[in-house]
Amino acid sequence: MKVKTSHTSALKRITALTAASLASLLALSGCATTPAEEAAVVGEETSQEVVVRTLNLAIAGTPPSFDPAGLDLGESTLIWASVYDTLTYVDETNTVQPNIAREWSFSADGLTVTFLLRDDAVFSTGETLTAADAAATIEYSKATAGTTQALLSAVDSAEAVDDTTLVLTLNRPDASLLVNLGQSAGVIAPAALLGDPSLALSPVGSGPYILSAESVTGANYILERRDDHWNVEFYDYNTVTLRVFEDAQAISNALQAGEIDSALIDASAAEAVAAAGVNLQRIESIAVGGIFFIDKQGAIVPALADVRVRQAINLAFDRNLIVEKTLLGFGIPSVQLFNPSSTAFNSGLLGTYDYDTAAAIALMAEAGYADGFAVKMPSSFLSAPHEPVITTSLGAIGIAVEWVPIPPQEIASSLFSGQYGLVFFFNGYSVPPRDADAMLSPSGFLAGGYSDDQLAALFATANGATDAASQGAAYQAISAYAVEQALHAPLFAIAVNRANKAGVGWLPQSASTQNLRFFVAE
Amino acid sequence: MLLYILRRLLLAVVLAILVTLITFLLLSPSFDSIVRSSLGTGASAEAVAQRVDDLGLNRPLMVQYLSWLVGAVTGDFGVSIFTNEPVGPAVIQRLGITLSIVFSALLISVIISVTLGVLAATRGGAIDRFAQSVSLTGLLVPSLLVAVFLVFVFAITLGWLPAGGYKSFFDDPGAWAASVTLPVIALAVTGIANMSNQVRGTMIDELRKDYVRTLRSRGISSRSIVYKHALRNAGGPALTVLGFEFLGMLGAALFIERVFALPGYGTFAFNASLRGDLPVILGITLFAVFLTVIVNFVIDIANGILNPKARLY
Repeated sequence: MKVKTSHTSALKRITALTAASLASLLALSGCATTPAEEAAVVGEETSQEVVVRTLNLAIAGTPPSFDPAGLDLGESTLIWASVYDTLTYVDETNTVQPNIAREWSFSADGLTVTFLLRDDAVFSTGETLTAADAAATIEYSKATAGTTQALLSAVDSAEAVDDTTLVLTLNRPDASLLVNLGQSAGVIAPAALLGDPSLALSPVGSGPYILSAESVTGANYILERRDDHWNVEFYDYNTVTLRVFEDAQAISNALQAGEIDSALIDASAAEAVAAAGVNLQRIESIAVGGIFFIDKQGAIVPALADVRVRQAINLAFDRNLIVEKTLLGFGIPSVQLFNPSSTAFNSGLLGTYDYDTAAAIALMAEAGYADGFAVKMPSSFLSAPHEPVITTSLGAIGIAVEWVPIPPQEIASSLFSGQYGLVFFFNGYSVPPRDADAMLSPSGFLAGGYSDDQLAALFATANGATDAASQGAAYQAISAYAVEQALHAPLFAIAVNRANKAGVGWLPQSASTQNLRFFVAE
Repeated sequence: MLLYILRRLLLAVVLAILVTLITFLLLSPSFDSIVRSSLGTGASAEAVAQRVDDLGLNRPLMVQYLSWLVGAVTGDFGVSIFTNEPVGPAVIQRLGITLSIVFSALLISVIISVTLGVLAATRGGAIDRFAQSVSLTGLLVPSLLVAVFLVFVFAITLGWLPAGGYKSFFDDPGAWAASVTLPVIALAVTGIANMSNQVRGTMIDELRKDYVRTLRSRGISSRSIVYKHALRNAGGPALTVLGFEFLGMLGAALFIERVFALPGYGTFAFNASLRGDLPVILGITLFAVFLTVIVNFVIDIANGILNPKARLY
């Protein structure tokens, strides 16, 4: 009897403990604010007067900070560019348009820019946006270490002359300034909130959407449209839910199951998604991939200082085969660093480095490297799919590659570590001035500090170009020089698919920027 | 009992300090890289240095660690270097999601394993062979593969359940149940395979013992012998396996969370590790240590309840 009692009591205690634990766990999982119900389809509820549309999107990875100084330029742009207004706006054709800044003018020397701002933009807090907010935000982003800081490197100061006049003083002409001000460098937050840690998680702006309090960081971001926004007619969806996915297959599954309306997908998922009735929109040229010569000075790998060696490396790759086999056709073979659809792309350079191992070997011998040499390259998830072809191609001309595994958090710093003379990398396309800065200017993170007189002269010409035509010609000249001197070894311009459910349209044919304005209800 | 609890608590604290200190020291050579990664490739050397200074990462290592430890004791685990999200609430919220799935999978595993194991041990024959086949299949097929299969069949092809996402129980219990069904099944498969085999084995051993023969000779019913006596004695080893199974499921949850797009603890920890998000990694490590100690403690208590001779307190 005693055994029975203690056994029964024991079971009761264990059962009670289990039930209590389960209840508390369910409570914990519901502790944070929870997302609103999602529409399983692109929803349209119609009354006689109002059409209410919802949109469910997938984004890959948790967005980082929403603080103006720390904004990311990836898919999280869909969120912060909806909450914040920017000074200018980069449209779906990569053309800079007015936004909060109605018009602007440059001084004769290009070092002062005067912006006239709208007077009808209102923050979600109810306060009117003024030039003082714009100036304060720019000064804040300049002074705060973060992803936005580098985009304002040409700006010396920002001053509000009056409520609707903003003046930027530059330390040098910057051809990418207006583009940068259409992205993270141009966001405007209330001056009183700058530096408040809460801004990183709960952004406050004057944009067409507000981030709902029901959003869950790292899981769901719910944007509710502000119907009093000055530009509301360009935003078709009342509610947009952005779900975070950490796995490409999970995105594909959700598309096939009809749970999301639009997402960027891998080439490998295209067939399955298309079979589920989802429309695929190929977006060309989102990034350039290839081998970047960090050490053109020859400090780490002396051979890279010789243009013939760099040219030989360019000749060693069968770019057509790489695009066909490694990218499954999702790309364009390219020897140029600039976007093939941009004004900087120089069609006269096609065929410059057609695959020719014999010619490459001859160049290596001419440069004094008939026996080849060894190099180390950082190995990460970025390079992994391409390492076999790189090893084989370079091996065929006598260059032995040793891949050094590096953890993901050291990919960026590997470019500056002084250990590697060349790396495999991707650079997301922006506009030619930004791309040139990143890959060719001495301060660019992929340039390795390299400069020469001719390149400097070409940059000076480009920075002084004031209209689209002369700018295009100037960057084509830079592209030609970069190819001739083999300043890098680009291999391809990679494409991507955007999968859209029926009824959802996406405007851009290239994806240098992302904005909810580009989603249209069809 | 109180002394036992205090001893376990002390052990947990010592372990937590040791593990987080080792983790911190292992990450310390990468501080500059982590900061640069958080600022983007366009960041200047001055910006990186400024941010390192802002985060206090240029202080002596032990000063940094002790500063974090003091904060942790007071409940302040810092904020993510990348998102500024407070670490404590973030870990708790995500842990809740993962544990709600893991515990549900564990519960299902226990119910099915005990049933299968007891039937296999007592009936033998076809049931025993079936149980062993189930166990073997569950061990051979990875949870990830099961998850992918479940999504394809029940979410994409049949559309009966969602392909991913998580709904809070308190918002909509029905939606919660729908959102966790497939992940729970995927996790439970391996649990059933492991535990049913364990229960079967220990039950067979118990049923062969002399006391069982004695009970039968006294006219005690077979049902009573199996469920009141043999199963109770077989429970100890099974509980130990349960503890290991819980920790195993916690690890496997990472893959399940990725397949089903669940914003859980595993994904959070994995992403933080990839990025080197130091405050998050330390917070996750701390919680993991305490969770492990708590699980072992609960198993010990449960063992002691089932078998007073096994009590350590």
